[in-house]
Amino acid sequence: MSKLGIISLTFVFLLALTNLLIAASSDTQTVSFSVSSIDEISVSGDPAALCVDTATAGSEPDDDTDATTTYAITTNNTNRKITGAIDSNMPANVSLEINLVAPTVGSSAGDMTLSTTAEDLVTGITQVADGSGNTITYTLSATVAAGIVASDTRTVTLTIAAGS
Amino acid sequence: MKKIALLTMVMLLACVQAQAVDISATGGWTETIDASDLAGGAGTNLIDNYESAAAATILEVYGTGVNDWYVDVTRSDITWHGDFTLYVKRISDGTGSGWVANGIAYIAIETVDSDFFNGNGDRSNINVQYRLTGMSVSVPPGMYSTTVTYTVTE
Repeated sequence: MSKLGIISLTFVFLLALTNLLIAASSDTQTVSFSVSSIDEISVSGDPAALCVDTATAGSEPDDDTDATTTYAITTNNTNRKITGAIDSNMPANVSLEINLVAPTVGSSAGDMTLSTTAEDLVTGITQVADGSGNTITYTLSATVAAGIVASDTRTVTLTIAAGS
Repeated sequence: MKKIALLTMVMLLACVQAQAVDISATGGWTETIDASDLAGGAGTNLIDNYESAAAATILEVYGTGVNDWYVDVTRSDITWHGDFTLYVKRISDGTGSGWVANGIAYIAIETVDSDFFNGNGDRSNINVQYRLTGMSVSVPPGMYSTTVTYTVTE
């Protein structure tokens, strides 16, 4: 055999041996996570009954307020808002207002009159988990034109919705 | 005659090489995160970490030779979130000839190869488990995926 042949065969032999020594193989797996849209809100309970029953002579009756309840919110979305509505409108000349303290991210709209049409109460909420007890304040007011109104209840619904 | 002997040796080596070590991985892990994963309902964050089933992936190392083999692990992100850290650990030795060692504590799967475990001889039914940390409401809704690659070297 020629020298070139010996060198060639030696090279092939060493190459094969090297490949044998560092043989490697791979296989794969896929790991996947689906993160769903999360918009959760809860309230601490019902406020005390509100009653307009005092007045200063010469003035409209005094408002009654309650700030004993709070809400908690979690969302993983951006640009969310909290809206509020009641299940039926208030009697004539009687109004129910609500004021939500904004969570750590967001802006409160302040006192908003509740009706069956949802109103924006807090806007600009983005990816927050705030359970620190954001205060809800209800204010019941009535003018003398309302007369005597029998006791009644309203269900207030707070909803997290996409901001405009 | 000498030529025939040398050619035969080379062909034998090629045949041996064709039986080189190989690895197969079956299974995987898919997890859905939703409101039920909040730590305590509205006002709380998502649970930070999640663990797969005990045998989310089953590995088999076969075609081994006389030398020890080593399994590395890495990941290639398809859609991922920077807050996530994915871990893997070996929870069984599997069965077969030889032995396996290391890899029984969680190690982070990085985008570069990391040593996972090693052994000798053919082994099947090596179960591995995954863990993900870094979940929170800061992670936008969507699908997040990564490809985990196991490489065996002998």
